[in-house]
Order: sequence, then structure tokens, then C-alpha cells
Amino acid sequence: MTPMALDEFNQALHNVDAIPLHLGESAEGDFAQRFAVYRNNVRASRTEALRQGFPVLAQLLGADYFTALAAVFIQQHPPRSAALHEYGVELADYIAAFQPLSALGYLADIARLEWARLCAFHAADAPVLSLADMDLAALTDRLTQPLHWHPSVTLLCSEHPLYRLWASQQGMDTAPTAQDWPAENVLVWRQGLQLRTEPLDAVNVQLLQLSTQSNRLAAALAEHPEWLGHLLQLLHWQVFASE
Amino acid sequence: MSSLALRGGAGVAFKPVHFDALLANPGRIDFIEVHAENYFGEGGLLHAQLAELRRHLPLSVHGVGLSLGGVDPLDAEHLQRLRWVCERYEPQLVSEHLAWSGHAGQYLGDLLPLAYNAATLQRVSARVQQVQEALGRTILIENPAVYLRLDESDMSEVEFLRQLCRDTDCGLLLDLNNLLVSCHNCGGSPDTYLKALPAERVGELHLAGHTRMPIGDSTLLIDDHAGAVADDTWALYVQWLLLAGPRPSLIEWDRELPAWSTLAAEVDCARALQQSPYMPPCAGREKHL
Repeated sequence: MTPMALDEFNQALHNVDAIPLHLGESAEGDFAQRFAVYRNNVRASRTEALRQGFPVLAQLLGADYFTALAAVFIQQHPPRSAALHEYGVELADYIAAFQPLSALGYLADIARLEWARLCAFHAADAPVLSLADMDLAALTDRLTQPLHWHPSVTLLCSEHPLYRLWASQQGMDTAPTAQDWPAENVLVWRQGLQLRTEPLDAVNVQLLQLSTQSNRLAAALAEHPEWLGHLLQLLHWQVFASE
Repeated sequence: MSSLALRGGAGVAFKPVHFDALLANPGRIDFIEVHAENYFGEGGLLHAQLAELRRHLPLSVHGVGLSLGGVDPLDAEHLQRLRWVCERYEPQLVSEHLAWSGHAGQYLGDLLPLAYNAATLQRVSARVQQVQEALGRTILIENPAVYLRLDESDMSEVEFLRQLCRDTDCGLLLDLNNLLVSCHNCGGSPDTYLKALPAERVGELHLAGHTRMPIGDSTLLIDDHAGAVADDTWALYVQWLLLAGPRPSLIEWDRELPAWSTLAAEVDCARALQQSPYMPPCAGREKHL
């Protein structure tokens, strides 16, 4: 098969109006229908990869709208890797810039949350910082050094009630209303093998942000000793790597 | 890690949903197969499950996205990740497809057809050799399910595969469902195909279901892996067993997944036929329940 023929076949996969009839054997009068099997397979595998990666977004948009959105997204951002669980990194920004959905700003954040879950699910394993391994002196000493987030961790700070929007689609929380629309932070990570998605209060967000800088965590706890409980929760959640 | 050589037996394309049932009794089957690309992530549940199963069962790693028939250079990162999966899990078998699935930097998500001619053979041979050198082992190449024939073809698929084996020393993964689907869709005799194959090169068999799609006045068979192995495929399996004897045989059921017991019953059929290929094929058994 010449590179040119392969190129023509490929172009016709993406163009409904093009059927590369000249590539087929003349005996097959139904070449167009046969070719359509491949075209449909290509479209379906990409759309299905997005649907599996972004199930809550698909639910919020409805199946038909999601399929239509996926069709235009795929044209502009086709997958580059055969690991289709890595497909869709651009979807959140694409939605944020997608004019017909501009009134629904939270949808891009839902896509960011679902992308974070995909990343967390496949992220590298790493030993976690555990309280079981240290006494108070060791903990105090450790807090003067920068901490490293576990490779699975993503912190999302949204202008929308992101956690409730996401959780309500799975019957885990009530849906927010226009009159009850606070900003929410969400932490996505893997605790052991379990994928976790939790709302995060402002103190925990601050602790996480300070944790990667030398001495900042220890200083913050000296100023706000009541934050220790928050830090212990983060440690219990295993969001820090041991090294 | 199980290091048993695979010379026969039957296994399944592993799905995480079946992990608990499979781990409860790994001896229920003889091996598992996974799609390599599903394990290109670095860690987490999928790897933990596979590492655990690998302690009990031989493994076949089956690539679906390397695009051996393509014209882009082989994706170096993809090849590196495939090597990493193979080093991590030490599979008994590694396979890929006679197809292309990427072009101009895009992954197309389907196994697309090739014209069988000398130029394609030269290109695919070089790429198979590149993969084998990168992995430090021979690989098995699977015959594709095809829906059309390309005018540039001037040799049969089976002749193409024969020459590919000769040029690269690769083995073959004979997918009997694909063989049946391709012969139905594009003409050709499964019987002739089987007899022309270099049987000694076949290191694994695939068995799967297909569906029928009307097209004009006729019917296309679609290789969708969404159901039980078809009667005709079991019959072809018996024919193969009589001709060449057992090979590790995989039940591929990738969509509309059944209960574990249903999948395991398919494995039982393959195992039983390996023991006694003269019994009636297993398919159709549910009609008699």
C-alpha cells in the first residue's frame, strides 16, 4: 500500500463526503458501505474514549449533545496516543472557549475534575508520608522541609460549587441551586488504590499550597495551632509522598 | 510470577470487572491476555490487579495500537512503553496486528486494512523486525478482520503472512473469528486459508463473536467481540485442532461483558475441544438448556 493511498484512505475517514472508490477492487460495488464501517469505528472509538473519561460531563450535557460536542472536539484535537485513557487533556479548555456553552462556565471545571480523576487513576505508585513512622519530634522536623504531593494529587479551586455539581450527578449530594452557588475546592487523589474526590475547605487548600515550600508549613502551624487537625487529615488521606 | 510455557490451554481477555472471580480460582483458566495500551499508565489499580494475577497465571500481552502497517515512523514512546510493560510482567506471548491504526501523528482507534503487495511486505517486515529488536523477542502477528479489499493487493493475505514469517522470523496469532469474517466479507475459503498457513508458526489462537450487518442484498460480518463465540468459529476451531493441534486459545469478549461464569464456560468449551476435537462444537449449547 503506497503512502499516498494510505493518506487518501486516512483523509476519507475524516470526511463524510469523500469515499476513496479508486482504492477498492472494482468487483465490490458496495465499497462505500464497507468503507463506512471503518469510518464509524474510528469515530466511535474516539467518542467512546471521551465518554468513558468524562461520564459526568456526558450526563450533564445529555448523550446527543455530548456526541455532537465530541465530534467537533475530535476534529480539532484528535488523539495522539494509542493509550486512549490519556485522551482529552484539551477538553476542559475547549469547553471554556466553546461559545454555545459560555453561559455554563462550570462545565469546563467538571471536565477538569474528570481529567484529574483519570490522571489519578493511572498515576505512578509512590510511598506515602505516614504518621505511623514518626514521633512528634520527627513530624515537627519533617514539617520544616518541603513536602511532595503524591503523584496522583490534583487540587482544583473552582468559582462554582464544583464538588456538589459532580457529586449530585451520582446521587451523592444535592444539586446546588442558583441561590446557593458558592465557590468550592476539590481534591482528587488516590488513597492506596482507591480513587478519592473530596471537597476541601480553605484551610486545607492553604496547607496544601504551603506544603511544598520550606518552613512555610511549620510557620503556619505555629501561627495557627488549630490547623494541626487539618494537616492530620491530609496526612491520613495520604496525599503526601514520603520523599 | 508464573513462568509456565504456553503450549495449549484456554484463557480470556482479562477485564478488571472479573478480577475477584478470577482471583478466587485462577486455575479455572490457563492464561490471561491484556491489551498493552491499557497498562501504559504508571501505577494504580490496573497494575496492582495485573501484578497479582501474574503471580498465578501466564500472560499474553496484546498490542492494538502500534500501527505496524502504517507509514509514520513507529512511535518511539509507544514502543518504549510496550517494552516497559513486557519487562514488568514478563509475558509468555506478545502480539500485534497486521493493520495500521495511526497516520500523520493521529491515533485512529481502529485496525485499518492493508494492500497485500511487495512494497507493504517490505515496510511491515522492517517494522516487525524493529519491534522484535526493541523487545528482544519474537512477536506474534494477528490476521485482521477486514471489510473490503484494496485494489493495490496482488497477493493473498495468507501468502503475505507466510512471507512475513519468513522475512522476520515472527510468529502468528491466528484469529479464527477474523479469518471467518474476512473470508465472508471479501471472499476466500477458510479451509484453503488454514491449510496454507505455516502451522508451526502459529503460537496463539483467538476466538470471538461477531454480528451480521445488512449491506445491499448481502450481509457483512462485523468483528465486534460483543458476544459468545459463533458456531461457525467453533467449527473452524475443530478443523484447526485436527489439522495442527492445540495452541493457547483465547476467548475475546470485549463489549457487553458477560458474567464471569458465562466467560468461563466458553473457556471450558475450548479446553474440551482441545482434549477431544471430535465432539460436536460447543456453540449452540444454550439452545439445549
